[in-house]
Amino acid sequence: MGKDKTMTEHEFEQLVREYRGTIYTVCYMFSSDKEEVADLFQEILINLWKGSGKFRGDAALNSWIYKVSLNTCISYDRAKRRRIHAGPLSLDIDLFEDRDERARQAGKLRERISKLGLFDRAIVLLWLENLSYEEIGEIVGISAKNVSVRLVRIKEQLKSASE
Amino acid sequence: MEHIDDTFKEMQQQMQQLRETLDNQKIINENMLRKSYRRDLNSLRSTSSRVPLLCVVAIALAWSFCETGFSVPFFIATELMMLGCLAGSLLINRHIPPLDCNMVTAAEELSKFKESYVNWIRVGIPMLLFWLSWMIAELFIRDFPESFRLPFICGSATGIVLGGCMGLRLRRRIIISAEELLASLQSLKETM
Repeated sequence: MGKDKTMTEHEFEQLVREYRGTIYTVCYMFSSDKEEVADLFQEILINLWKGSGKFRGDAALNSWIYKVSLNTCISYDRAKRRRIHAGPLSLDIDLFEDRDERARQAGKLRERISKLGLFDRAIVLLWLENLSYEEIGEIVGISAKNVSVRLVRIKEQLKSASE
Repeated sequence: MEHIDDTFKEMQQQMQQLRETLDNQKIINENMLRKSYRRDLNSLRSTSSRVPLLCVVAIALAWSFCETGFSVPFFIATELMMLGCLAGSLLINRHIPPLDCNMVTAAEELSKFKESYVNWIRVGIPMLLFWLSWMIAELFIRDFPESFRLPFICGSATGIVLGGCMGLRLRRRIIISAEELLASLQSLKETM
């Protein structure tokens, strides 16, 4: 997608297919409810579509997807979660089912991260996705140094929560 | 990178497993893709149906050439050309697959449809140039009053330029729609 070029529906669908894992991971880490995860997923898709016209390719696509996904999850209003009833759920995955060891491990991870505040959750999630401090800082809007300081605090918080 | 203790190490492994799980699973329901495909197909059908309609209008308007003093052979040639365009566009539009068609046939038909639209310009433009040359020749050979000739030339030139641009734009839109539909079919195949 070049500069000043609006994304077509097909390009958007390709984008969603490529980054579906990223978007779902963010939703999964910000909610403990299966239906809410589906709502968040669809809300993020809507926000990505709305923002696709403004995306000019001057930042990494990955960073933009994370930014929109995290902002959507952090600002998601649980009281109004039924305001957009987008019809049948578009997700075919359910990690809330205790199917196998992988699903259980994913559940443990989510449980750990859910003990953190929303902003810290975003930072640790990005760090676990192997983004650099600079990239994390760019997405959440703080300096790389601030990211490293926060990560230390998050580690201590997680440590004391598991003791 | 700072020293990673066991908690973070475990979390990194869990995250890796989660991403592997997600990469191997279907997340987006194929119904979403099918809905989008159906909508795009209806849109293509609707857009491409404008071409035969325009041909019908042109066939009706061609009568005015006779009324204004052009030769009968020119009028007949114009009508035959427009009838040919109408027949051609109807034949091309037959390749738009029905909604309940299987994916393999749909992809074949859409490819034929797209190829036909890409190729018709090789016939259409020479035909149009020949027709224009004949019309210009008639304008100067036949006994038209000056008060008719100049306005007719200006009006025709404007019509041809505008019509040509709109026609090419419509053609481009139809070709892009067909390409996107073919890509949607490919995406649907990949979800199976």
